[in-house]
Amino acid sequence: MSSRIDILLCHIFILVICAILLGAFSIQFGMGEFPCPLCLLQRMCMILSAIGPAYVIARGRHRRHTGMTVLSTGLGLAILAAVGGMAVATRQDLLHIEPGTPGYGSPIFGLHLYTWALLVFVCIIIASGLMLVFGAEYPSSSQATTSRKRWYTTLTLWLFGAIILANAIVAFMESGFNLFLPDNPEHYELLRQLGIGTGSGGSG
Amino acid sequence: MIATAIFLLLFLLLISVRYWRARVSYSLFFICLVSILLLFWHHATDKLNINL
Repeated sequence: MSSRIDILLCHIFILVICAILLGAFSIQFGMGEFPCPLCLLQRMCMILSAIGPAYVIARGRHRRHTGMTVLSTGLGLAILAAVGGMAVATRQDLLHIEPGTPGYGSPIFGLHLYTWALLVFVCIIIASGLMLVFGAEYPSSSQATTSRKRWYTTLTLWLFGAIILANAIVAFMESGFNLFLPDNPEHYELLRQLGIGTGSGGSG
Repeated sequence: MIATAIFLLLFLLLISVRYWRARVSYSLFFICLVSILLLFWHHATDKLNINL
């Protein structure tokens, strides 16, 4: 695999994570479902796992930095975060695994969101492993060129940053000025604390 | 507020990755990871009264 394909795959990696997080937002605000603490922890781990590929593409602007060293650092970070996310998703799966126990939230395509999250983390680990196995290895000095900003790299990193900030706002709305998130959130605590209605209904 | 702080740390981490400063980025990454795991530990053991 050439370094261009590696960097392109890292873009796709981040954009897929962004799409998943935007999907979670659409369920939160569209269907009026509040993310529980474990759901937010899974979002954190997804963001953390996309930081590795963000590092690869940020370095990819400078061709002399690309290659197996950068790729292995970035994907290593992604795997570490995905293992943490898997632990959280597995924990939430096991909470509801007993037959007859209602799951948290509505199932999407037959599976609850935490089960989808578990599959996403498994896919991250498999994809990272495959990219490491088939990663590009070439001499750095011969390909040293000046950096060139690509519009899609800038767009991807800005979108990713905006989604992280949006999640920070949502988490603040849910926890309010409390230290921890409520176990079963049914309203936006911040809105209640500020006396702006009940903040229920997931309308944001 | 802890969750909000972790998300803000993640944003800071993204900025530090963009302007790669190895020591800062690695430190922030592991601070984020450990914070997430500690928060997970709190929420996972809180309700069940687990003794490990």
